[in-house]
Amino acid sequence: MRGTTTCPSTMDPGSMFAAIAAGACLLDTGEFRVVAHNRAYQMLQREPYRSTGVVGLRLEEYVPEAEEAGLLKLLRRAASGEAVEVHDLPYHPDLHSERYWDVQVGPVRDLDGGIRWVLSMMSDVTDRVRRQRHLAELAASLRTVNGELVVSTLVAQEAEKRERAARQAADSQRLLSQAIIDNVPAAIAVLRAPGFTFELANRACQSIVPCGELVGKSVTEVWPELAPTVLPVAEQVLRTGEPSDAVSVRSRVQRGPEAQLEEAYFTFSSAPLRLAEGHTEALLVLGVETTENVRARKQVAELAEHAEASLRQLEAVVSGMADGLMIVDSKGRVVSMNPAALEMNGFESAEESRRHWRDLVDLFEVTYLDGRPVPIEDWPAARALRGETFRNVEIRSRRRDSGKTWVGSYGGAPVDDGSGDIMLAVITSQDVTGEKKTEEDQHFLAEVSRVLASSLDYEATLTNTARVAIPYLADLCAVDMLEEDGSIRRLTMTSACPGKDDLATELESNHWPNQSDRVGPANVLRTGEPELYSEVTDELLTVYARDPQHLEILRGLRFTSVMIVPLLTRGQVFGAIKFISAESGRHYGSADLALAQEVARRAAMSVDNARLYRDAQRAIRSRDEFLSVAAHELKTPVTSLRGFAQLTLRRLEKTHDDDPQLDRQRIHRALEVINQQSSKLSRLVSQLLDISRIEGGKLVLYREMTDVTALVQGVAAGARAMTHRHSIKVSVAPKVEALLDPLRFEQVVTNLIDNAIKYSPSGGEIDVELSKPESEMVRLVVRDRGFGIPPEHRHQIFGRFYQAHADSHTSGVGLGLHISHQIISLHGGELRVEFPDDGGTRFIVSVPTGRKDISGEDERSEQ
Amino acid sequence: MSERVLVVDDDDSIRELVSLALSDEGYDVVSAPDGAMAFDLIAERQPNVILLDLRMPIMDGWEFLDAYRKRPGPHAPVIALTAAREVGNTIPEIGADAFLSKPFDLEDLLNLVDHHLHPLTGDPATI
Repeated sequence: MRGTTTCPSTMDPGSMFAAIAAGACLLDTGEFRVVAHNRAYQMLQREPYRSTGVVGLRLEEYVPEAEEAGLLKLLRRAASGEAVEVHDLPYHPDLHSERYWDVQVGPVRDLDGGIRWVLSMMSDVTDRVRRQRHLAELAASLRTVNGELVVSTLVAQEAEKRERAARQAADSQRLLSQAIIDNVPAAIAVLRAPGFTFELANRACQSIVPCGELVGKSVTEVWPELAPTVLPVAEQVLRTGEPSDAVSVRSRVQRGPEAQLEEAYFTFSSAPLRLAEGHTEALLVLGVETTENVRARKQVAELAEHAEASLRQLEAVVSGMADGLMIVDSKGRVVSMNPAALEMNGFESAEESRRHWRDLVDLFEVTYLDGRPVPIEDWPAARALRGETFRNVEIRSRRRDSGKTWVGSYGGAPVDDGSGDIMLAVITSQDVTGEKKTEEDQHFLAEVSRVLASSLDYEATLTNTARVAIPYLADLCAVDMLEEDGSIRRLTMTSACPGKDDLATELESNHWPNQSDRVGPANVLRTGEPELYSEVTDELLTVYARDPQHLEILRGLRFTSVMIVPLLTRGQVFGAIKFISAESGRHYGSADLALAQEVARRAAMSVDNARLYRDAQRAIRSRDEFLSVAAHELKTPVTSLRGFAQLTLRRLEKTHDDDPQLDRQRIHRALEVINQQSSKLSRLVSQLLDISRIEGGKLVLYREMTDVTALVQGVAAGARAMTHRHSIKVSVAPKVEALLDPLRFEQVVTNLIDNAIKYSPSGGEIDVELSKPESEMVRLVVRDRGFGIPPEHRHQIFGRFYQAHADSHTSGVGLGLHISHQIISLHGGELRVEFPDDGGTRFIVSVPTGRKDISGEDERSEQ
Repeated sequence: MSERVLVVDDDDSIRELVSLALSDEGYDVVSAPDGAMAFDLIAERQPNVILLDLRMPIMDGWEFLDAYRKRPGPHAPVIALTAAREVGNTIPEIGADAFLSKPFDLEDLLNLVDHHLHPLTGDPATI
């Protein structure tokens, strides 16, 4: 009959209790008043019961929470004949340590089968509970780390299974209560000294020592292999009268008549038994098989090892990840950061990071990309710990100590323990500084292009470009232009700090880049190659400085890095942009240089466009002006022609046939004017045709050996006939000959003398002088004493539509000088103008005689 | 006493043409090749109407008009003659009383002069 045993008359229950490690307590079935308990049970109680014991007390008197904890209910069930057990019951006799218990209760029957007492056994399983938790945490962290549930689930399931087995083994203690009952797995035996013969052996004891009836046999006889271990302990117990410590032994058992011997573990403890005579001559031996426990422990150890290996593997994977990974526990402590996260955050070792995340806050300056600071409650760790799951949150961080700046794209998620409580938070981060830089560079270039497109004035454009470069690309930005004469002109200097540009400009003003500089803008302008100085060293300044004072100024400006890029159009350098980093402390690299070159390329293209546009505008203006002037000048002779024709017609209508004399005179004059004006018109048309030929590159010279002396004399004589107010003095060297187009050269001489007459309307002397200052050179000078040319117009008198007095037009389209200049140039000569101090204008024509060239060519062709 | 017309133009042939045409109609004509000389003639000859070319050396038509309007005393009507219509060449901008562009018909010139000399009478036939 299950759950029933008889208490041997010779056995003292107190001694038996004392022998077992578990807390055991015998209670009556009425009020559950304690009848007896062992020492272990007493030690479980709180003070003062730990000192006084609890015999005679009701359970709820010394364990007030007994009802609440369900203990009384257990006892009631036991009192009604049921054997019950509860696992992992939390019961904390000490306030400061958590303890967990397996509790077994069962009925104890008297000889006639009535339930007399209830036995309660409490085993401390705190270690086991902790171990389970540890495994659960281990499993959870595995799950956390890679989100891979397989390993951890297996681990957890295995652990649970093993633990269950282990627990069942531990349950063998429960069998003590069934030692009083029947078929306890725990072996209970009473050995009588001397010789240690079995006085009593329960069924379990019988089963592990399968030698038939044990009573009356000695230990040595039935279990020789254990005797050397067990007997010395037994003797000691008898000698001292104290219970023994638990002794673990390994043995082999036969589980059934047919079964093989198998390895098994047992734990024995023994206590002295007072027999009826009052002598201690017997021992109570309690044996519990711990085979399952031992195996479970081994397996747990193996599992833990396996789990650790998996964890190590995962750690290897995590540490090799390019993305940063940070794990924060529920209390906010950084548990782990992989190398990528450590590097991104500028930590040199994992230890540095193992703090509460709030303690790391002061190390960083953290903003969103638009510059707003990230509030502490919105830091990724805070959000994930709050339960938020998020991704792609872009944050710019800066280490306050090192200045390291980066942009991270963060993701985060909480990890719960399965019951909804957040156990951990996982934060991933990706360094997107490069991508952001590219994005921002594009943004910046778009802004540059916008600025460049905003104006067609290239100086304004370049100045604006320098302004836009700050502060994105530089703290100071200067643009230097290469002038046509090879000199260098500082176009602009712009700075991030108001006033600094003025200061830098003022300090540098005496030391503009100049052509002799071996480095800097001048060198870039010369070579067309960019220069990059990541670090502005004192050595570099020394090379660049022109004198000690300049060096001091440069040192004072504290530039940290400089790059200079050329402005090029169609392979020609026309300027350079200098980007300087100072107070920002940045150091330029090749990526910055590439960006700077792109800025320069766009700026140069824009300048080129501006120039083309300006040239086109000029051409259009010039053409409009030409058309306007041409129309004006053509209309004047046309007015005369029409006017005289109409006048003559009117007169012919009015006069009578008998007045022929008068008519003839008047008609003659009218025809004379018409003749002159049509010549003038024809000359104007020729000039316009010349211009169109010159511009089309189609003005062709027909050179022949020409008597220049005669040509000049002829033109002068013609001119004299045209004016009474002027005195034309001609001084010519005899027989000056040159290889010229005589008609074109005559056109030039005529133009110069006509101009001299035209621009000295009040008369005066006009000198015409022909000479041969060198053997291969002919020189013609025409000088008038008229009103000259205003200084502001002197540089453009050979321009296409120039007229000396455009505001108050003299007659003529103003094409003459331009055409003359072109004709002389085509002859390989030069037409210059001088303005003598005593007034008027002096035009000087120099043309090669052409003889030497021809003879030279002939000689060459003969060779 | 016949009405007097002052002709100012730097082009000799235009000056001659206008003078001849006006003389044929019985006007007393005086002429000058530039604004400066014309200005000198005004006080002396007191023209009843002035025909003024705008583009001339020494003193152009605009300068002449400016000086003429500032001058005290009665002002004769000024008819501007020019070859091109340009910005700033509208009558109010120039400050002239009439505007005739070259090349012009003699008929138009004579009508315009007549109209400015007898602005109130108009055509007697219509009164």
